[in-house]
Order: sequence, then structure tokens, then C-alpha cells
Amino acid sequence: MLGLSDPWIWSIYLLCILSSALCVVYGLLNWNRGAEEEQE
Amino acid sequence: MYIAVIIAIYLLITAFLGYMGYKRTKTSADYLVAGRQTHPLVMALSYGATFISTSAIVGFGGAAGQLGLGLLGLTFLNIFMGIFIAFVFFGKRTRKMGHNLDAHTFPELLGLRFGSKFMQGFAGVIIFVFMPIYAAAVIKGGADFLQSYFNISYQVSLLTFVAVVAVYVFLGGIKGVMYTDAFQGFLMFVGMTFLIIFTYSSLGGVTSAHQQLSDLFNNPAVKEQTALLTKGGFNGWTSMPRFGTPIWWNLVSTVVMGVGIGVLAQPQLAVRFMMVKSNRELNRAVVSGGIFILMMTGVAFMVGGLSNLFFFKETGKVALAAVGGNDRIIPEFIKAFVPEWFGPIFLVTLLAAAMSTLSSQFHTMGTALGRDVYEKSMGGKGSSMKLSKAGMLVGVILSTGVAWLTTYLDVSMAIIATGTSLFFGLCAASFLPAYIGALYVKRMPRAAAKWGMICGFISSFFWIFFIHKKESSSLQLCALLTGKPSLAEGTPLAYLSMVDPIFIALPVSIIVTAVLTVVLKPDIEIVHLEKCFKGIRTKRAKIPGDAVVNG
Repeated sequence: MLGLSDPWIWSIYLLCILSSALCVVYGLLNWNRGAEEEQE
Repeated sequence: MYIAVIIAIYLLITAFLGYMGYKRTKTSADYLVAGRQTHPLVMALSYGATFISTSAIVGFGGAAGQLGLGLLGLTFLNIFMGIFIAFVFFGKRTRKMGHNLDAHTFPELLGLRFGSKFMQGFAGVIIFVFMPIYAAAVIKGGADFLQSYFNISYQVSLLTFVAVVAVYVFLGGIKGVMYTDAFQGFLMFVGMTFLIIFTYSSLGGVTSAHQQLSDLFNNPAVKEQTALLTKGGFNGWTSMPRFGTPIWWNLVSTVVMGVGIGVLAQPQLAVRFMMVKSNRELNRAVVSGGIFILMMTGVAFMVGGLSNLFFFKETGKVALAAVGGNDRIIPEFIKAFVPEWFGPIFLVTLLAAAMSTLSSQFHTMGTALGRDVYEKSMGGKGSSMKLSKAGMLVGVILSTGVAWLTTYLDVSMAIIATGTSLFFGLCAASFLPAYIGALYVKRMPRAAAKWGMICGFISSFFWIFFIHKKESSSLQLCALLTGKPSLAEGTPLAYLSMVDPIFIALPVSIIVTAVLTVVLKPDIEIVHLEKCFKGIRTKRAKIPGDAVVNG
């Protein structure tokens, strides 16, 4: 996959991108949440 | 000339931002936690730029050039643990508890939460004693760079580099650090973005580039050049090394776990959570933080690995053989293959990476000695700002001294090279269980947190100095006392000398903390716990023999 023969390596490659995407999606979904008057 | 102009503009902007920090710093809270009012983008860039030093780009990027894309496991942990878990599960509670207790530093948060001046002082001492080695590694990176590009002596470049950073941290405090970090982080982002686009497009796209790198290992000439590495477990740049071999252990334990998990308990990073106003800022910072780290270590490791294709095509040799050392792979790649106009911009990128990490190290060493050890733990008198400034001066002198020594002593070169993972591992083993307990385990007794920290530190220290050969052989204490570079050498347990300290010391501190938490009675007063956890939604925790705590 993606020219990477070892499943370990392409999984790691995808995990890097997915974890970054997770940060973006989480941040955007919670963009306006958590202002000081609310609880965590 | 072009490079001088670029660097001059960069330094002028940095100086201006340092001055802004100085003008906006009125109180100790401003100096230590930026008045707790930092913008999320500034916070995220500052966190990322502090996290990623030149060694992450040049050092680990070069390691990927030698060992392959398995290094990307570190990028994954950097993003997932270092940003997502750190911000969402540690950051929010750290921020709130830090506000509730009016904590100004990471050791102070632990000390106040468990009502232990000892913990604050002990954590402060660990930071102050060991951070100079980590800082010296960063100083050396910056000074080497200035030396080679301006043809000046190492000593002059070292002193210039330290002086510039020390001045803006000393005067501007954490605000000066944050503003300059954000600017430096932006530059790093631009530089690395260009680098990955250039590299992939030169090789015909993502899949084609990877495929060529996979195929390269099958070339007979390459097989011959990497024969020694292959013997140690190397399996090509797009495959993991063979399980259990020295290269596998090196890759997985030291690099991936050592720095990947260690990031959660880094005092200079954790304190940043206390610098924003609310959780909303942290939610927003997760977005830029996640992208930023991917573009730093992710790009550095990919480019490091792919550089083999460029070097082989041009010289008939793989990257390591062509340049003669891991640390030279990325700089030589930039010099030889990237368009000439980009060279100076990338060099400023590296300078920015070094300065942004160093500035926070100086600041953290200052607060550790001035505020945590002297003022809070020993009961010294004086304003926190002044004490931190004094502590910082001592830290600057110490780190500069260690970096200076590298020109005279061969042995300290190796110490410097392991400085980053040594500090990360030591922090994880000493602080992580207590830190998790502080945020999540209301019933954790003071002694559990304290002894977990002490045992984590001692076992980590012992493993670093006496067992883990990579570090113990360069630190030389073991050889001096026993005549062997590692106590495990020559015994049936020799393989232990390859295991990173974090694999041993972190479990030790976790077990000690957990066992004491179960065995001992909770001893932190309910009123104090309510104050700590005010505004943090927690489960009802029943504390035996006492009232129900509702956080």
C-alpha cells in the first residue's frame, strides 16, 4: 500500500495521518466548547 | 550575503517580539504563566516549537535516513500522545487545577495538589540538575549551525547563540518566549511544508517515491553498503528491523517509546496548559498542534528516509555512506539537492527550532531553581520574577558550560547526543504516575505520589548510569566504579543493557504509586481536594472513613 511493502510501516504511516486528522476533527467539533463558565 | 540578510531579518523580528514580551510583563504571573491569557494558536505553536528541537529534525531525521521509516512510529506517538492525549486528558485538568491552586510551574502543581513542599522541591531539583544536559544538546545544535555558516569559532557561535536567547527570555519572561516561539513555529511550518512538497514531487509523487525506496534495498550495491546494518537487524527503509535485534531494540525502545511517552510529563510543556484562559482555547489549540507536529517530525523522517534515493542516484552510495554520519544527512541533503534559494530559509528553520526549545528550557530551569526550590521549598524570600531570573542565569551558565565542554572532551559528545532521550525518560519515570494521580485519583495519598516519584527517579537514574549501555558508557560513572561500561555486561542478563530506562523505571514508579495508593489510607483533606477539583467533573469518590467527595 502506498508503495510501502511492510504492513507495519504503512500502518504507522496511516496512523500518523489519522492521528493528525483526529486532532483536527476533535478541535473543530469542540471549537466553541469549554469556555470558562462550563465544566470540563 | 543572502543568508546574512535572511538571518538578520529573522533576528530583528525575534528581538522585537522579545521586547513585546518585556513590555507586557508586569507581574510574576505574567513572567511565569503569561497572565493565563494566551491565544490558542500562540499556545499551540509555542508548545509544538518547544517540543520539536533541531535534534528532532536533524538528529532523528538523520536516524530515519539510516534506519528507515519505522521512525514514523515516533511521529505517531508525538501526535497522539504529545498532542491529543496531552491536551485533552492532561491539559484541561492541568489548566483548571493550576488555576484553582494558583500554580505557576509544573512542580508547583504537584506540590500544591499533594500538599508537599518536598515534592515541589524534589521535582525542581531533578529539572534543574538534568535539564542543562538537554539544553546543552540544543545549544550545540544551534552553535554548530552558526559556526558552519559564518565560519566563526565554535566558542563565538556558542556564546552568541546563548546570549541572544538568554536576553529575550530573561527580559521578556514566558511572554517573550511564547511570542518568539509562535513566530519561530510559523517559520518551521513553512520550511518543512516546502521540504516535503519538494521531496515528493521530485520523486514523482507519494506512492512512486515510497516504491523507489522499497526497491532501492534490493539493489546489489545497496545490499553491500548496508551489510553491517543488515547483520544488526536492518531490513530496508520501508520495513521494520527484524524483531529482537539490536537495531529493533534501538528503534522501538529508545526512539519510539523513550521520547514518545516521555513527552506527557515534560515540565516545560505541561506548564503551557496553565497559560490559557479556558478549555475552549485548548480545544482550539489541538487543531494546529496536531497539524504542526505531523509537519515537523513526520516530514523530517520521510525526507530522511527518501534522501537515500537522491544520494544513491548522485553518488552511488546510500545517505549514510555518502555523508559519513547520521547528523549530516539532512543538512547535506539540503545543500546538495534542494533549490539554492531554499537553503538559507531552511537554515533559519533549524535556528528557529533550536531557539524555541532553548528559550523554554532556560525559562523552566529558572523557575525550577528560583520558584520551586528556593522560594517555595526552602522558604526563601523575594519576588518570584527576580528569583526566577536569578535561577535562569545559573541554568544558562550551567548549560553553556556543558555545551562548551564538548569541544574539549570527546566523552561529552556522546552525553550530548543522548541528552534529549535521557531527560524525557527521567521526567516520565519521575513525574508521570504522580501527575496522573494528581489529575485523576482523588484518593491517592501524599506518600504514594512522593515515593512513586522518588523510586521512579532512582530506578531511572540507576538504569541510565549503570545498565543502559548507550548512556552508561558515555556517562562513564559505571566504568569508573566497576571497570565495566554496564553492570549487565558479561552476565547472562547482558541483553538488559539494550533496554531503555523508561521500560524499567516507569513500571517501577507506577507499581510503587499504585500499591501505596491501595495500601495506605487517603490523607489529603476533603476541603483541599474540593478546591483542587473545583470545576472539574469527576465521579463521586468514596474515601473510606470520611465524607463523600463530590468534585
